[in-house]
Amino acid sequence: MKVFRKIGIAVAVSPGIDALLAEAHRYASAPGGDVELIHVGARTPEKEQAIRDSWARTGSAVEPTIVWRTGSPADEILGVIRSDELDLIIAGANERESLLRGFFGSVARALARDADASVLLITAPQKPPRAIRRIAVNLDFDDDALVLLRRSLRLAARLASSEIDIVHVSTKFAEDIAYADGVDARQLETIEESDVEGTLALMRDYVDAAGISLVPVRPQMITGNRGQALVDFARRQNVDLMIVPAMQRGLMLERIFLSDLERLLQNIPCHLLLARPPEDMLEEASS
Amino acid sequence: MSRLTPQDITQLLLALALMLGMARLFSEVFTRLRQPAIVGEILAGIVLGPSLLGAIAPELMGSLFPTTGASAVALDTINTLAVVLLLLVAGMEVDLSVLWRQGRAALMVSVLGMIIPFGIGAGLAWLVPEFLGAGAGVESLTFALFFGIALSISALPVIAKILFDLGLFKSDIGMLIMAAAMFDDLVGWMGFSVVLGKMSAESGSGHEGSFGVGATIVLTILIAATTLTIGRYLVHRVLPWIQARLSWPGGVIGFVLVLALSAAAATEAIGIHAIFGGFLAGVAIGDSAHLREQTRVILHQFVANVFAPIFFVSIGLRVNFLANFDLVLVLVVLAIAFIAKLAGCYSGARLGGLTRSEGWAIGFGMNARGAMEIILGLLALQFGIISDELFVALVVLALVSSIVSGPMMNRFVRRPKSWALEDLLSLERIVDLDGATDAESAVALLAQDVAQRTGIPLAVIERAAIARERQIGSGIGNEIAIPYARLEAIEAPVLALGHSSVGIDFDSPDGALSHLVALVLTGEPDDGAHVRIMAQIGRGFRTEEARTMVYQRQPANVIRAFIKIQAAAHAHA
Repeated sequence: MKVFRKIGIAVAVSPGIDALLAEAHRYASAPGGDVELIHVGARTPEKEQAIRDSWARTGSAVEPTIVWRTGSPADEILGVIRSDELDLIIAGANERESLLRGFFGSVARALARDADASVLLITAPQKPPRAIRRIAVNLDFDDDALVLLRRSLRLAARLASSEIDIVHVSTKFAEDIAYADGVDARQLETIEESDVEGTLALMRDYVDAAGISLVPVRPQMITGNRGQALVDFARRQNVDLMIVPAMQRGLMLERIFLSDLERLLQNIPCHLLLARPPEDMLEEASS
Repeated sequence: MSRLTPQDITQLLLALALMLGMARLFSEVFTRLRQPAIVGEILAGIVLGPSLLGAIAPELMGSLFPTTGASAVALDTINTLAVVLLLLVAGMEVDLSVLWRQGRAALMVSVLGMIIPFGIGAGLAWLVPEFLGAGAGVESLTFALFFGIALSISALPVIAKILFDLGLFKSDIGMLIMAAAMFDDLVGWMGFSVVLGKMSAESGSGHEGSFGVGATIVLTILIAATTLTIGRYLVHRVLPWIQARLSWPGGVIGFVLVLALSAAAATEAIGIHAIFGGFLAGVAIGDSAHLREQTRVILHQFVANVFAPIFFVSIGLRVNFLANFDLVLVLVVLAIAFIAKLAGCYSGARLGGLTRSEGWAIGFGMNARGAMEIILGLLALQFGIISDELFVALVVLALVSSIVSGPMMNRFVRRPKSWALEDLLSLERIVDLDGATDAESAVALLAQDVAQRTGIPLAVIERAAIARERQIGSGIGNEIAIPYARLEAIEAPVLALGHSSVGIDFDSPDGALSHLVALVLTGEPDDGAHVRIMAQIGRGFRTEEARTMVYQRQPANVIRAFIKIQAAAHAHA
């Protein structure tokens, strides 16, 4: 039951390395999984030993490869993701960044924006690692939603979570405008009721199509601006890991007029997994 | 200080009461006819104005709605306030995260849906300004810029209402149209503000000491950039404090209005029209995720039910629609506007990877112009950029495009179909999977069955289904696996059912082998059909009893009846 085939973990030799690897190794311990520890900086025997020792302290049975690069950390890690065809990259991230750093980019945020793989941002890593009791998955009914849901259910089982919320954010954008501009309140209420009913039925279809879950599943529908609503939900419900579909490559303008991804990155509420489906297989099939 | 006399006040209040009353009456009628309220509001103005009442009883109209004197100035002030507030709420509707979410297709639709109409409109206006109704003495470039923008703008509120009536407001196509229209509004209003600034500077109609053309354009861009970055950031920071500390909703509504009116005053003072400040303030405020939905709705309703009717009725009071109705010009403007907008949006949709029918549906949706076109036209009329005849043609364009948009969209839009599992099951030919050694060979055997039934090349089906299988195992537990694929060649979903007595490893979450394997093939795009079918399979064969019926090859009708009863029980639950 593999969720990710090949995983990379961005590491810096710093006091926080033990905590980051303690958190990260849980995603990397699938039988037969490949793990790369990526370090951008000069290679020295001391650093190599420190990284190996830190990994050994996690108790993982997986034998990782250490990948060394020099140059701009974000660019180098993005290059490794592409060249080594990683499925998942894991990096530590601050919950908030200063305005300028957030705008021009920290390494973690650059990976979240540009990686050709799923990205897991670990906020405030701890040793021993924080239990991932509650997972929230954002279901948006797009083409890859079912794959995302199946992977999330399997990940929840792997992490021995106690519950998984399947969250659909319904934007009330169109209703608000239509209501303000003359749609009758009673008509709106009827339409909204049937919309909620239809959405919940569709969510149940997704859950049933995804298969049985070893972790209790709770479909939920919330409203608001998608990015902000997810941040608020994670805070309110004490979510430990939020899984959202990886979003399309962004324009610089999205950092001014915030996209959903930028809203999430502005104030990361918990561990955040931006899940990208393994597209290469479909591309191979269509070629 | 000069004051309004009791007679002025009486006249003003009576005029407002009449305008609001008639607007409500007409908009109710048109709403019942499933048409935008704005159509009724403008017709109310035409009835009260020189076109009808003025033609029948000019003295009565003159006494009700004087064009000179203190009450006329007061009414004009209320109209200016109305247009600033209309633009404030238009700005608040801008939520670009919706555009980013819709991705490349929405960007292509909005960009080409602007550039092509703008290019065609500006080009024609440059070539034949007099024929198209340029104002006397207006520069060709100013008129060309205006006409290009007038053809490229959309009307978000009208579009939202149409999508709502068609039940498409949550559909992908509905959100795409909304996103693209919003972007067009944003760019269109910014562009128009530059045109107004240029016009104001050239004519010297701005304030004393107002800036030259170049400086005005630079200032316009500078103000927009500052408001949309620093201003937006500050609003986002201040809003939570206001909502927490001040009374609600009074505190936040007061804050929004103070900000909008101050911004409007600032832009007016430097020679750009006040609407630009109102619009920018709206974008800055509306972008904040801290702004409560209810606040947004209260402000919208306050403007839509009080100020919008006054503004739209006043249009009919200003212009004689009958005297200035030039049929040829109206038809030419309608033809150019429809062709240009449809061409732009259709090509954007196609380049964005959408189908032909989606392209047409989007084109007609984006073609609804409504209030924004009229506001734009009125400002241009006030600045002398266009003639009365062109203004009337633009109002007709706004009304006609709003009215035909819904029915035309409805013709082209594709709605998701529902498929019942019992109708899709081919129980007469259950494929024997005992020869399969693993998931991929089982999928290949089922693909053979589908290829024989549909005529689609086996290799195509196999490749697509196995690629999906490699993404993630299709075992769903309870001995069931549902591999699937989407193929353009498929019109209606196809389902092949197989049985393996030994069981096959499909990487099920419960770790068990799969004995019942259903290959689902749907079209591309399938509007989520594969999920609905897979869910029905999961539910239909959840019990051992149902699966055993297949394993034992019981009569097809018996299994179908069993599944149907289970589906009904689920629907009832």
